[in-house]
Amino acid sequence: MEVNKKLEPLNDLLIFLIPFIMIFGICLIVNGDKSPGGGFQGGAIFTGIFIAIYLVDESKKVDLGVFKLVEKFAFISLTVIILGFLFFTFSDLPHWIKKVYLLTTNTLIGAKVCAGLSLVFYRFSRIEREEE
Amino acid sequence: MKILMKFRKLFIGIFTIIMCAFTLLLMSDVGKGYPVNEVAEYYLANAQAETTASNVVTAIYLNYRVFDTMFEALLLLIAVTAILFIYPIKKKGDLPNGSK
Repeated sequence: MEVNKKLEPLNDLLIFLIPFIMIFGICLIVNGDKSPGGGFQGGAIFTGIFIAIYLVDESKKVDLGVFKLVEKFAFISLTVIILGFLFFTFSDLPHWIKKVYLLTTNTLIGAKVCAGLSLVFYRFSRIEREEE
Repeated sequence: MKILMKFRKLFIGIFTIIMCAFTLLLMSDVGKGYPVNEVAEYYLANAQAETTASNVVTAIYLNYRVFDTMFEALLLLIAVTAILFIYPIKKKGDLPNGSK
């Protein structure tokens, strides 16, 4: 495609950037309880990886079913964990359980946001291609 | 309607100015020693002790207001489902109206 040829030098750079985007996303999600950031922001940054993969190689086949599965699984687990903690008084729980709870929910939210935004991006990109 | 289309940019400009003025009006109270909501004070004082999260934003969205987070996640799920539903992938043999 014409657009891709213009972007070729940029695309080569993007391949090197992907690991850094990944590290940044993981850092935001894991440190969500200590520093600014968290599941939503980390998930949105993780979407950047899939957008970069699309920009690098447009013809690469991505299975949207996996994204759908991840999104549903993350949402159901998130709901189960949140509702499960309703049975306890949260402030009385031990320290490490609270830490694990924060990390797990942040990770699930991150996975969910990443899967959802990637689905939207890939679907719209596919529509664009079909219309050409 | 024609007049509206003719002065469309003017209307958009006036509307933008009104909205900016309204926002500034709302913001003018912030930071003037206005009595802060007692809930906000409670969060700032007790968030770290109760939830172990030093980031108060995380403490709020994963503990005090966790149902908001849950429904926000549900909202995203519904939005994605709607997009997938409205734009199904066309396969060979599909009718133009999208049905199989």
